[in-house]
Amino acid sequence: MKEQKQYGYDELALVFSNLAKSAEKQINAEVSKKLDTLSTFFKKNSSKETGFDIDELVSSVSQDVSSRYPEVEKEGKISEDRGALRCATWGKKVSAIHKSILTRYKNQKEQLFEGKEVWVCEACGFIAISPQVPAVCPICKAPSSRFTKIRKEN
Amino acid sequence: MYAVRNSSLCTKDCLCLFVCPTGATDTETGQIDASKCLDGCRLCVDACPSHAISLMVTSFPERKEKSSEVSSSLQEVFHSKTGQLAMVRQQQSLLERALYHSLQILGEDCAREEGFMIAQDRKSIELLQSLLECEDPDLPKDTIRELLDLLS
Repeated sequence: MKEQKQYGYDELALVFSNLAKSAEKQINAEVSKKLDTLSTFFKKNSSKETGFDIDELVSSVSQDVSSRYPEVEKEGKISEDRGALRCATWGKKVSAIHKSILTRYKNQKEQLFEGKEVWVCEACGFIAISPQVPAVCPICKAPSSRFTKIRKEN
Repeated sequence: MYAVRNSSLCTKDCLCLFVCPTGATDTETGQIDASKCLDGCRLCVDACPSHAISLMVTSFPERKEKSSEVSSSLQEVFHSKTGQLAMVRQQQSLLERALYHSLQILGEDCAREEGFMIAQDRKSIELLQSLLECEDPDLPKDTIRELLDLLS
């Protein structure tokens, strides 16, 4: 029951989508599908519903870059937890990119994407805005095959 | 250990069929028949020219416990990322769609480092068990029970 106090439905949705992905890597389709079912349930029944506010988003992302991820780095170093350190190193860089994209978007709006495609690295979340898929992820070094092209329409 | 095939890497050169002593690699599903696969044999793993086959263990190692300080610092980031996700959930523009996709990956990474790396991990099993006590009537508890059966 401890976990339910720590985690709301939004967090549970991601816990289970992560487990579904790792089951898929184990080539265990049956388990992966059921984990996905749970993730979808928590996603659909999530209570949080806030609209898109770019300034609020920039402020939250900035705090991740300047204090929340550095806190993970600090504790990761003390505990010699290389996994947490890896998560903080990648996450801080990806969040800094988020901040940069959001700041540029405020000025340029949709022009930011003109003549470009948007790609997301499936391994670390890095967002690339470029005509072609990156050959290798600059943050986690995953190959181009790990990038997903984000479509303009749903 | 048994062999599994990553079908997105498989180039259908069929070397695994040539070398498999039991015929486990030749199936209509595209996957290797684990019940016929010989424990740790790895002939197909080494024969595959596309490196599409790997060995999967049947029992996983116990994950090292996270320190409570690392855990709570990760939770701060995790909550922050789900808050940001809620802001772009409607995915009304290309920017929001890209951020949504990326933030999900960042949130999942927090979950992984918190101790939910694979479904077989003790923390994952305990979470599934605790959810059976959850009072939400719509929660698909049959799915949870089926998962606990499959993972035991």
